Amino acid sequence: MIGLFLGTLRWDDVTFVEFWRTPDLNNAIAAAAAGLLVLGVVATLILLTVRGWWRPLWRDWLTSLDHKKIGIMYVALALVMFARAVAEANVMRAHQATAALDAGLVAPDHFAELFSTHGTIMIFLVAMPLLTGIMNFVMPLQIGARDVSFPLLNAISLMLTAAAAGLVMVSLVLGHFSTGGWSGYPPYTGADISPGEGPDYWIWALTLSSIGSTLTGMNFAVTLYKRRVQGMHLFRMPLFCWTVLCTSILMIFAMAPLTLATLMLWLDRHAGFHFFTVGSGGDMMNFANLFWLFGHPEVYILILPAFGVWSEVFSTFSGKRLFGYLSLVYATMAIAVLSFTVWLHHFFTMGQSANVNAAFGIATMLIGVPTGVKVYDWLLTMMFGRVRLRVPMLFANYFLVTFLLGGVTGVLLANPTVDYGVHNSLFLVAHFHNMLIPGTLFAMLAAIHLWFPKAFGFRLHEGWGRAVFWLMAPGFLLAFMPLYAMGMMGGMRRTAYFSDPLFRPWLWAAEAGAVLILAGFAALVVQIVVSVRRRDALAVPAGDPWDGRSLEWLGPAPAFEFNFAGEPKVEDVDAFTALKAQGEAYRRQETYEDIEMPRNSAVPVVIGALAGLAAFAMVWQAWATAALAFAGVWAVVIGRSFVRDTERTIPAAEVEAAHRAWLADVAAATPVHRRDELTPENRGLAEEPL
Amino acid sequence: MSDDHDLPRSEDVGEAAERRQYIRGAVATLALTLAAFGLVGSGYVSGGTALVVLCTLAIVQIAAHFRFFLHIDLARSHRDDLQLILFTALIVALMVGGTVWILFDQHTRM
Amino acid sequence: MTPDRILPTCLLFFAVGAPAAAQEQGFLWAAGPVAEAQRAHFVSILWWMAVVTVPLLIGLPLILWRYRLNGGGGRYRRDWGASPLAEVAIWSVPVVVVGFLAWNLWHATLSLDPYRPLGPDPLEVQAIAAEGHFLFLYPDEGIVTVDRLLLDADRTARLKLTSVDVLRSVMVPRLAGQIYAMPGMTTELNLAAFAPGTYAGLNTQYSGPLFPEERFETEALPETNWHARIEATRDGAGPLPPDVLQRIAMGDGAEAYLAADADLFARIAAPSSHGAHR
Repeated sequence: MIGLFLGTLRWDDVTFVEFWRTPDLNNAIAAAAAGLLVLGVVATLILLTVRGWWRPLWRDWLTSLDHKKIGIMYVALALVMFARAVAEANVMRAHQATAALDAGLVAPDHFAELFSTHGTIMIFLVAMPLLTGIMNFVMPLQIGARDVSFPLLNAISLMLTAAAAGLVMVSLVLGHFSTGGWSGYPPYTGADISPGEGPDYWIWALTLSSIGSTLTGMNFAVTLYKRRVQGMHLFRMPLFCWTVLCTSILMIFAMAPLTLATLMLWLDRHAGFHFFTVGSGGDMMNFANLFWLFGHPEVYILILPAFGVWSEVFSTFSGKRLFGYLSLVYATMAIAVLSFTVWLHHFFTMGQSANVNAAFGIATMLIGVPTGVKVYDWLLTMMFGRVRLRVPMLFANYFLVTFLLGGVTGVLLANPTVDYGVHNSLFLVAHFHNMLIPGTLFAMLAAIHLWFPKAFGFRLHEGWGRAVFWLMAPGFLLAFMPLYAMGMMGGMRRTAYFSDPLFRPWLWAAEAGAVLILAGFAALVVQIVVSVRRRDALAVPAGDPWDGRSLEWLGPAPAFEFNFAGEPKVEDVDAFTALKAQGEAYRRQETYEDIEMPRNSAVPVVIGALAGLAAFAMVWQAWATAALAFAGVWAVVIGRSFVRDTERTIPAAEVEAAHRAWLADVAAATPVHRRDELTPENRGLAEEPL
Repeated sequence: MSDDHDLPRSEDVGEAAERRQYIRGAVATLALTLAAFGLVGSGYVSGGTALVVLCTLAIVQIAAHFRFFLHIDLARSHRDDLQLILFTALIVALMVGGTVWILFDQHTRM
Repeated sequence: MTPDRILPTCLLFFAVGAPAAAQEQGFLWAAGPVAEAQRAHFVSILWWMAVVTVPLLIGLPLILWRYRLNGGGGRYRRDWGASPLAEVAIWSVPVVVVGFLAWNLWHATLSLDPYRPLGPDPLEVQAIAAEGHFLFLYPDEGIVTVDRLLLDADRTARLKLTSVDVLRSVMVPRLAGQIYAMPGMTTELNLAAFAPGTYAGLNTQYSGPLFPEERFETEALPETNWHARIEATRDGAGPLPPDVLQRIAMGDGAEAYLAADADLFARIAAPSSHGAHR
């Protein structure tokens, strides 16, 4: 009976018990990681209780359906998960660097667990939540909307993603995660070779997060189609919104094959199915096919929002219109469509005919055209501008240079002939980190620096921001240039130790780079703390700290809960710049109207918790618990559909008061020249550039 | 928020008419589903014939979903909706076509 | 190192100046016609890509300097957002470059297909990838070698690949690229060496805790030595036991066997031998 509720979970599965039974270095590292997690959770709980933050946390954040708060929570979740995954990267490199001398730090299976969690977390629980968070915060503001089309669904997506993160975190303490890498190919992840709970943790974490992302994609696409303010034609949307639209469409189509593939793998493992079992009519090659049918569009899901951020950064910090807006829009669309025609390049070496490989290779290389166009459009955006190398701009220019290298190695890998030689090697690892670190991660850091003032009302400390940049930028080069070299010398990914002693200096260099990136992350934490402490000197209540160009900069910082007091007028791509030029950005309104906003709801939290419990129970084959939790999810969904009173009204008087308070802040602020934008004089009012 | 992207016109036709449409849709799709299972379960069709019959029923099923549940038909289709459907068809064709090509090629070689 | 090798080495290794040339393992140190063609193809792509990358590397610092906020000498045109001439250039140059690269790709991919024989009358070898070890069966010679592939340097070789349990990938980097070895399936890889020598071979796909040990030596011998070596191996080897895979896994295997069991490869590569249980 207890088995129905606890499944196969036993005392021995607790990491601490494992360490107690076999106290070696490997288990000590596992127990230390689990201990850090438990301590972190306990410390957070104590802090919340002592400070009396439970109520505000519940009322203002967890139950909020405000897209801005949901966006901020996504980013916070991503940063927590980043801390773990970057620490894992450090452990892996330290292990590889020392393994040539003796046994290294961790056992081979533990090493495999590390590269599997590192990849899974970085893709699904760092990169995806980071960009989903930024899109959530920025996109509705940029199109002049009050919220996304489906605010409740938005919060449910967040809570499903958080549940996936919780599941991966729990695997630190209870049992083990998969050892099959982030791509989890059978037959290795099949029941015969990996019978334990590991692949099931992977399957259910991915299932939760992919469902969340599918819902997000639908939500954002509908929002962009239906919620644009009057005058905001599709071709007046800021470029970031175009990339959000393309990303959302990719999410809708690309996540389905992944959800399908992981569920089919689960059926193979536990229900006697044979989708991927060769002997019984199944085909493991179809797993690779389905996984990369998701996996390649996923690459562009990760990079397109970054392209959007860079477009905003280059034009804002050059004080100038974006060059080649139409080019950039069409290039973005082209990339989105082409991204569905290239997935085979992840398995050129599976033995299909040369003409199949050649066709997919050429399709892959075609993506180089719109990407190259974008790079030059950004370069020309800075031309005839007044370029200010603030922190986001440092990241952006660093990106331009490193992206060239990533692009060249990408074109190399698009050639089946070259891929046969470097597939599965560290060259490949270096290539995709080259795209994902300067591309996605640095873009999101730039986005955080750019939009932080709009979210919290004060700028981030510039000096510490530079520290983040100057630690992470060389850190990336040091960590991944050696991998290009090792890859071309026959070093393969996922190798726990290299017997060739000549690899050792390269490994130490890579480890040093990983340490620098970790230090950069620490600097980011310090930067946030320092900025909070000095928030009065950094405050920008008038709302426009960078002489912004699009609608999100209209209104105070932090933004109104209802985003805009009235409907902003849009007559240009750079809508806010036009308003400022016409002197209409800070004008009083004649009339104010009541505003309907979504009421807070506990439904998303409950759904997230129950879905997480169901997934956890599925991992441990606790069928009764899983069935109850799953039924609970649907009971809540059905119950919620009977609730009619889901909106609340903000009276016109309250809107008027808030709007006037902001106009008073604007009146009190002195317009600053861009030269002085880092000084305390910058209260968020920009001087008209000459 | 703006006038040019208002809700689908089906919102205007009145609740009774809309309910009738949903009921018709439910009956049609259920009938199609039962027909598919029935034909195969009874052994009335098999092999290549079954494949053709099932594919046909599936396509009619998709059309019924569009017509009755998603309120998309040729006459008053919104341009955005039509574009999105064509785009979806393109992406599905790419994914399915590519998969079939790859897997059949691999099948003949190993 | 020839200039052709210096270029990619410099471009990609600029982070650390370690003695790359000493570690001749990858395809840049080609020792066979396929790897040599891969290397040439690799280098030609780098040159072509320079057409797109070099202007940016030159233009970026110039623009950053000329248009900087404090004291930059450039004109400020805040509404400059389109220029038909520039747009045509930035679309057409990548189109032309990618067009040439695609043409190259098509020809290189068809001519370097790993399934394509590299010469007449190749040496037939059947490779079985198992946990921690590789078995090479020579059907015409009637022997089996473990973790060692004996090639005749004057003859090309055709490998049939399969794997016992999980997906693996077989490569001898200095001779040619890799192809997956999958349970229940047979794939093919053709090899040829320019000259006699010993070349490292390996599995590149993570397969479990023993993955780093899944390596083998490829010995390409001059023709007469090869025949002598095969004879010597045959004389010194015992018969292939039916449980050879288990024995090797236990560390109880020999270096070579007589292949009495001609069907071993066919049996392992048969789909029906996999996963029919549970």
